[in-house]
Amino acid sequence: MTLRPPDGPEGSPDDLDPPPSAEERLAAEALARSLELGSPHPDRPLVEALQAAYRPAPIDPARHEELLVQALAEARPPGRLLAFPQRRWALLGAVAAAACLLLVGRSMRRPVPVALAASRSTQSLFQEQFPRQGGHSQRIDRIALARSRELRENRFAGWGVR
Amino acid sequence: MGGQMRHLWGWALGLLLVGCEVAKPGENELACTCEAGARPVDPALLSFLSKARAAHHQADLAEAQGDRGRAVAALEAVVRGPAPLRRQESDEVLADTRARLAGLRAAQGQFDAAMQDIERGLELAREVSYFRGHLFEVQAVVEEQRAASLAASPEAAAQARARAIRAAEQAIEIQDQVLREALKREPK
Repeated sequence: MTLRPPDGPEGSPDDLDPPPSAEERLAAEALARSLELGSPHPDRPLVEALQAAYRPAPIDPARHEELLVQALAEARPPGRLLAFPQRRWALLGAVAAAACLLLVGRSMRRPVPVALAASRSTQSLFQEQFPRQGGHSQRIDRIALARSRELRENRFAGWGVR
Repeated sequence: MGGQMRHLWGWALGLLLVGCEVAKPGENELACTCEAGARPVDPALLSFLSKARAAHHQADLAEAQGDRGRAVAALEAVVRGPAPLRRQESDEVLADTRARLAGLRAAQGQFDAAMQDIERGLELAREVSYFRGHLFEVQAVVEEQRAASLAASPEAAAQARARAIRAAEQAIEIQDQVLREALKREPK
């Protein structure tokens, strides 16, 4: 098929193509008939593509609906990694795991015996008799310092550091 | 439907977290290998000791400025405030604080209030210890001061002196016991 520029009448001085031959006219008429009647023609897809690119016709509503349904069916909503039945099974699994952890975990939990400094009398911190008056602050200083050391040691023992 | 599912997922995740927390061995899981009934030295005990220490130093500063009232107020915050239960340290510190309060009150002429402090202190320091002995020692001082203040009524003064002597004897007896026990533990 021979094409010519859309502007400029046939046979004008700008028309560089030679006039169509009888054979070309017959082919053009056959194509025109095919387009009018909707009958098959080898060049028809090309013509339809050109028409759609230049001035697209409105899409058939039924075809439009069909395309939409197909596209939505293929699309996955964001964040949904699992389909509904899979989600239900996953939820059931999570609940079962939680129940197992609660029941089995509690029974497995055993206190770890560790030698910790115990609360006890502070008597051993004082080898000398208390003065008759005063000395209270020095006594509480000694008690607080001794026990703070022991609390630190208990903390380290709790963390497994000795 | 979506809302219900989200709700269920929330519950499931919550349960999982609780389960993990229950299964995790924590610091509270430590078992003290100390004597039966004894509790480990813990932050509650230390916070009480820290508070008592600060109060005694506050009382030192107040006494150095001759302000016995402020010293008493600082120490009362210790004896009236919260203290860990069933801890010998806190009982002993409270008993010692009562002894100091009694001395301060006696110096202000408040002998009955001082004796109340002594009695409360003795309730805390029930076992033979320096602390119990010290409370009797302070009681002796309080009664001695009371006797000195009762010059106008010789009979009451004599009774106070007699109480002072008895308290001093108890103090000596208790401290002797403490000393004997301490000497037994010393390496020979």
